[in-house]
Formats: sequence, structure tokens, C-alpha cells
Amino acid sequence: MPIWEEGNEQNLLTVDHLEVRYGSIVALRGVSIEVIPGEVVSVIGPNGAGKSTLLHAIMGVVPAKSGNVLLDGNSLLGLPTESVARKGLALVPEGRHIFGTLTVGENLRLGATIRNDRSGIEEDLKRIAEMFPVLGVRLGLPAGKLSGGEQQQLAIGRALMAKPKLILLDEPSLGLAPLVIDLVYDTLKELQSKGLTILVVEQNTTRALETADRTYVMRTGAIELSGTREELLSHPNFEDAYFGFSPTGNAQSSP
Amino acid sequence: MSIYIQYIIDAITVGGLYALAALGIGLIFGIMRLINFAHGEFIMVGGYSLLLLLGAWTPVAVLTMCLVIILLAVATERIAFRPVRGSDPATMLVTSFALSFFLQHLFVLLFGARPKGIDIAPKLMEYVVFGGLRFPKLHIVTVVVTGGLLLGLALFLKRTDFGIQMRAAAEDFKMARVLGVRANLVIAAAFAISGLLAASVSVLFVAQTGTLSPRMGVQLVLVAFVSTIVGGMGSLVGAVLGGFFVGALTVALQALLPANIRPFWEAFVFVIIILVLLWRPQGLLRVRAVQERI
Repeated sequence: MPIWEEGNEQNLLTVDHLEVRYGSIVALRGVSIEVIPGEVVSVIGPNGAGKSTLLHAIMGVVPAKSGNVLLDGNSLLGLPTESVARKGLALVPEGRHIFGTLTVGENLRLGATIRNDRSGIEEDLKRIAEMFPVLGVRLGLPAGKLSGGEQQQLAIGRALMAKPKLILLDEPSLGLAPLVIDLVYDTLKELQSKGLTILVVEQNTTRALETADRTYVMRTGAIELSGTREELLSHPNFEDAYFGFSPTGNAQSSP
Repeated sequence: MSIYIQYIIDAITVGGLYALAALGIGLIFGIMRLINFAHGEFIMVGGYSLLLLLGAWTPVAVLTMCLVIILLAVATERIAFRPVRGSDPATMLVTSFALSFFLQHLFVLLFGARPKGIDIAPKLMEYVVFGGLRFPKLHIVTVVVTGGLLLGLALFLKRTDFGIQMRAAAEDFKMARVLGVRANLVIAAAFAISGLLAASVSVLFVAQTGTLSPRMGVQLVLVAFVSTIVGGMGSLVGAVLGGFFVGALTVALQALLPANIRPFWEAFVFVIIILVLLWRPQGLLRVRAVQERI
């Protein structure tokens, strides 16, 4: 089948039948998703569904066995991670991965590694410091001293410093208190209203469905369903797709 | 009183040398989880380069030698380490041993296994008297060179964008790449800096000892490696601290041990290091274990 279908020109990101293996284990079995500019798209699914692997494969952190990843119609497959970043993709990884021995300010500046506009970077630094006041007052502090919620904000702020075309978030609510999760998702909504395109991977189904324009349901390395919140919630197979069995007890194997 | 000041100066001189060597090893380890045992051979090749350059004006000889060692370090990265980059740390370790043995035996073939005497700057051995203290000019040079290099490197790592990228890469290399930090460039730069550090150790060490041998780097690199462990593997400040600690310990034991057991000072150094590590298994400066999941 053609990799490039009619009507795909408007996609910012196209993941086409992507397959990833870790040794003999198939982590992604032909995953296809699309992200249109300005959209918030979420991928939900239980632990081990392959959600993080999908983001890592898009970023070139893990190699793909087959399939394709296209950004603005150009393939990213086979590019080293830093080149993918330089094409305008920013990842907020699971576990945040802030640089603990570096200061908050240095972490934010690192986010702008791919940029050369010095004055623009300084302006954006001020903007991020205003957007996340807890970071603004701690710019000189080692980032390792921040709380989990503050580190999540730093990880998002660092990704924004790249002025990305698309921001990828891996489980942004993981390990955070409910109030902090509110804050993180309010931030995502604010960013969406400013026109940022977001692909977020979540186990927190409620949050993901609320925030996203469209959601993909993933299980054991494959996309089971996709649609808007209303479409998914009213879909008869939604719970089957997510849990692999319906809560009424009818065990069902996935294709 | 002045004897103690003398000891402190000695400790700074020896510790500075170890700190520079440890920093060269710590920098590469931090970024690629490679313990580069061939670092000792960078120092050794530097010594023989000085021998070949003997007769040239000293500053020219030293600068040329620095350039040779920087090129050697960058070339070994390109030829030996890049093909095994990202593989098991044990594979990279074995590669560094192979490189180390290769260079040692190459220099045995070229120059013979026996130590050679070399007197690169006789004037530096002249004593100066300062406030009741007598010490060779070389000690001043050592302190100035060590201090200058550490300060320069600290400013580079703290103040420049590329320096910040290197520190980020040393802490979490994969995440740094996710942000667009160019892996090849950062690693090549780290090797270039480790080459410069090795070249500096080479000049100071050869000036202090006045001898060259193909195995001269082995002992130094071992002490430097131990220093990075004492200081805290993965921490650059820790490597410097560890180097000065081991240096100070060496000088103190050589001075304070009773004369009949003084020849065994190295055993005492290592016993104390073992005790330090039992007290702080992560080294003097702990570095948060790098999470691998990204």
C-alpha cells in the first residue's frame, strides 16, 4: 500500500505502519497515527502498551524496524535523535529527565540548543519564567532541588524553549499530586490555545480524553481505536480495547 | 612552621597533577561511560614528543606537543571508540585496554623499553627562596598551570553554551541529544580537552621526574582512576577533589610515616582510600544515578 495517501499533505506528523522490536519482542506492531497542526492528540493505553516506545521511535531514540515517520511530509526515520530535535520536535520524557546538577536557568537554555537567535532566546526565557512563576524565582537554583511538580514544569518549559513545531509529552501526570496535574493540564490547554501542536501519551485516561481533540487507544503495541472523547466513550468496544476484556467479564482477544 | 607550608605546597603540586589526570578520565567517563585507560598513554606519548622536540624553543615545543596529543586523543575517539560507542561499557573498557597496550608496545618498538632521561627545562629546577621557604620554580609553574587550567575549564563549562551542553551530556547523554545537543561534536570536544589535560600532565610530570618510559602512564592513570572514584564517579568537581585528596594523602604519608615503613606508603594510601569508600561508597561527591529510561 502507498506510504503517502491523498489528503495527508496537511498532516504535521504522520506515523505510518511503524514497527519496533526489542530483540524478539515486538513493541510496536504497525502503528499509524496522524497529527494535524494546532491539534492536541492523545494516546492512551495501559502500562506496556508501547506508548513510550512510540514517542521514542518518533524521536529516533529507538530504531524502527519498518514503517515511516513523517514531519511535514519529510521522513525522520534513520535520523539521529539530535537531528530529529533540530527538525522541530521536542520531547518531555517520562520521569522528566531534567539536569539535576545544572541550574533551572541552564536547563531552560539547553532547551534552546537548536536555536541561534540570541535575543529571541532571552525573550522566551523571560516568557517561560512568567508562565511558570515557580521557575522564574528559582533560575539560579540547581534543578535537582525542585519538587516533582516543579520539575515537570521545568521539563515542559525546557521543551518550549526549542520553539517546537510539535511537542511530545510522555505521561506528564505520572507521580504528581492531583492539584499539580491540574496545573500541568491547564498549561497544556493554554499552550493549545496559543496554537501549539501537542501529542501526549497518558495512562490517565480521564485527563487525556478531556484535553485532547482526538485520542488513540493503544494496547499491546497496536492502535485499537481512535476518535474524539464522545466517539470513544460511546463506542461499544472502548473498554474492551483499553482493558482487553469488558468489565462485564466477557474475555476477548485482540486481533 | 615553614615545614608544614612546605608540605602544603608539595600536596598542591602532587594533587594538582593527579587532579588534572583525574579530570581527563572523569570528563570522558561522564559523557560516554568509558573509563579510558589509554589516557595514560596520551601522557606517555606527550613525554616522548617532548623528547623529539628537544632543542626547539621550549614554549614552541610544549605547544606543538599539546597539539599532537589533542590530535591523538581526537583520532583515537574517531578510530577506536566511535565504532563501539553505545555498546556495553565492558566492550569500551576492553577497547581502551587494547589501545593502551598498542601504544605502549609501539613505543617500546620505537624507543626501547628502558627508561630515558630527559631534562626539558633545567632552569625550572632552580630553587627560589620565598619567606623562609625554599622550593623549585617548577612547583610554582605546576600550581599556576593547574590553577589556570582548572579555572579556564570551569569558566568554559559554566559560562559558554557549549560548556553547558557538555555538562548536560555528562549528566544525561540521551536527554541532551533529545534536546538537539550534537553527540559527535560534544564527544570529540571532550576528547580534545582530555588530550589537553593529558599534555599538561605530561609536561609537568616529565619536568618533575626527568624520566620517560613506555609504561610511565600506567601508574598515573591508575592513581587518576582511583581519584575519580574517591571523588565520585561522574562528577567533574569530584574528580578534581579526588585528585587533590589522593595527592595530599600521598605527600602526608611520605612525610609522616616512620622511616622503616615509609617505602610502603602506597599500601597505606590505598588502605585509607578503601576506608573512605566504605564510609562513602558513592565517593566524596555523590552523583544521582542516571536513569536509563528514555
